[in-house]
Amino acid sequence: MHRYEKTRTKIEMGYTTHMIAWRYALRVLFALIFLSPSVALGASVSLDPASGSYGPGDTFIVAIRLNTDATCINAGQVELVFPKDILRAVDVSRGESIFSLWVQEPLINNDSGTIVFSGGTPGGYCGKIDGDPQNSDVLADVVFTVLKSAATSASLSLGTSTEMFLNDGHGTVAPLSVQGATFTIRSTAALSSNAWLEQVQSDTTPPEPFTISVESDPSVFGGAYFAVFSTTDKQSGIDHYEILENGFWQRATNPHKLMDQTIQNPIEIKAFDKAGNTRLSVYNSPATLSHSSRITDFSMIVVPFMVLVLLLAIRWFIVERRRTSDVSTPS
Amino acid sequence: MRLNVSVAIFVLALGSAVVWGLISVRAYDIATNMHISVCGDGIVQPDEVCDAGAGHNNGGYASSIATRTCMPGCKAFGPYCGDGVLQAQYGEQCDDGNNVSGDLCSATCQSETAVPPAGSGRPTVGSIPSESAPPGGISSALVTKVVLQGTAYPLAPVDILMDGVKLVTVNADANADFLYSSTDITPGTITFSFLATDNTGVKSSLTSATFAVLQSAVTTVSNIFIPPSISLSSIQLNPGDLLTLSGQSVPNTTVVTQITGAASSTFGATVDASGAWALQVDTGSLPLGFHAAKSYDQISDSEKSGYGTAVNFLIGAGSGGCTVTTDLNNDHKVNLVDFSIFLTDWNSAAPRSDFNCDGTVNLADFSILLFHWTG
Repeated sequence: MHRYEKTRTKIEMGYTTHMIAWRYALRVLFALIFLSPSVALGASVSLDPASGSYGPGDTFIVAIRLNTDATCINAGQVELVFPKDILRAVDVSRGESIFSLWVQEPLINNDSGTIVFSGGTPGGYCGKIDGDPQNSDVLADVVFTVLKSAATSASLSLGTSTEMFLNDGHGTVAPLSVQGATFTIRSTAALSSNAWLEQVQSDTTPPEPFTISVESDPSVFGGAYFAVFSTTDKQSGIDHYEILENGFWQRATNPHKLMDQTIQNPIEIKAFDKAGNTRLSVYNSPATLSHSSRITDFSMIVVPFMVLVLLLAIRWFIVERRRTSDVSTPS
Repeated sequence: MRLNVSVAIFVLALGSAVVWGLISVRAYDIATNMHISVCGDGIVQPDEVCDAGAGHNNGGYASSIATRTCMPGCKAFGPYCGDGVLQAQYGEQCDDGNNVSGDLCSATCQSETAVPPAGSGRPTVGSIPSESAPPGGISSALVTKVVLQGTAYPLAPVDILMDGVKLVTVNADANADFLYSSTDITPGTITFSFLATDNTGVKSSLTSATFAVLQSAVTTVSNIFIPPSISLSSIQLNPGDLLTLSGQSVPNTTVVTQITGAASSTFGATVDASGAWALQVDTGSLPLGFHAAKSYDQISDSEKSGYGTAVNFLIGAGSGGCTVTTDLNNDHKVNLVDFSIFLTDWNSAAPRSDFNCDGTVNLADFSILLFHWTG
């Protein structure tokens, strides 16, 4: 206390025009140092629409958008928190997403009222390009249905685990701000149509073509062969993948340890979008090819050998016949 | 007098703060020169002559200036009565550059001096056989096309990735310009990425463009400036040693390099006609320890690339810190296979995927993997 008063006195004593200028200069300096980078580098994740009016039974889409604000973001995680007693998350579409690789696919938990996903894009997303006819800033679209409740409003927020990373090669966490949404909940349905259903029904385009590669690494799956695959769907988004193994199509995720470790048979994987359109990719193993080439090599030795044997047999037959005829013909 | 000194101090402080702010922002600055032009969105952009919207830029013959159509590509109108060119194949007898009758050539490009042959009617658009449509006409107006153009290094191979998967390799010309176009593209939000390799085998950093591809439109992305390639003469030096930074970029431009811990904020180097650039730095002016250097290319006063890969070097004694490669299967590529191996290490402490050596394989490591992606 005493110290404070002493300091204060000292400042008051030194109150000259000079000092006032210094104080203001320092304030400006500090403001610029601490505020300008955060303003310039402030990426933000927001929900679109941020407001609206819906009633029980209504199904609506909320887009999660990323504004990079002059930075490049290459990876991130989103945690969307919603009121589980008022809204039910029925699906998440990645059709419009700027992320193409997913370390965690969207996971809906209607018991806790959360949706979490993590993904990224090689080279980073640096914001809307001048002239782009669309915003091209969507991380994912979440489809909600309004439940019957006594609530009059529903607030959605982005949880504390929401974070974005700069495309700087160091895995630096980007300064980030988040913006949620608040919807008015009416007692009766407000929408005359289901936008998500319409979007799915109009999607007749299959997922993008993709290739399967088969790999093995001593430290992955104990050195067993595994399939690597990934694709996107530009309309309703990828739903899941299926692989044909033991005569049955079954769900698979990348990377997938192969049941058939001989890898001598073709591997078939189908990508499904949310509308049920499928894209099939077939992998023909080099092992199969080398196996068939071994057969070819084998036949290249065997066939001439058999021809030679046949020729020798014919010659022997002719010679024997002549000899027989020489013997039997009376002189 | 005292007031003047105070004002001077204030201005000085403000000035240095603004400069500091600019420098600090510049460190994170990114390529902002990319531009998209969509032929088929109905908007006539500065580099377009016309644009009638998706599916309408068919370049078919029109009987008047008012009904003229736009060619696919939006760079010119299709043939029409009134364009001053006599198109006999479309039934024109004359074309005086207008649609006015009474000036010897009628509003419909029929000669007003000649007597029309008996029974012959005025040609109509409908009378034109479809085979006579200009090449690349009506059908190509419905094509979804993407054109990508930018700069790399002279004659350098440029890998183009679509959503992280390698699509094609094109070669830049002697001026370092590259161009790629494709009609085999599904409309939607797509990320194209670009990776150039210089004449010593050093790769650029990955430059990406995310945008919407519209159906039945030609989307042209220009000014894709791939940052300079960069390599060091040595990664560990004694104080006072000369350090040479070199690489390739666009001929006759300036490569601007930023070195952490350097007194000077940036160093400029001119790129020669072969695309080579080099910069010598006296390490005597740098403090001991680790430093990072990264460069961008100032192509013109208003155009520049983003920063390229940062290279690290050490001045003085010591040993390298955390050095883990993102090429997990050692095939000289960072792609889906490495990503898949990375996924099997996710949330573990596996050292090979813990690129930043913080003890956990998490999103920060994923971000580092994506930065080094080659497709």
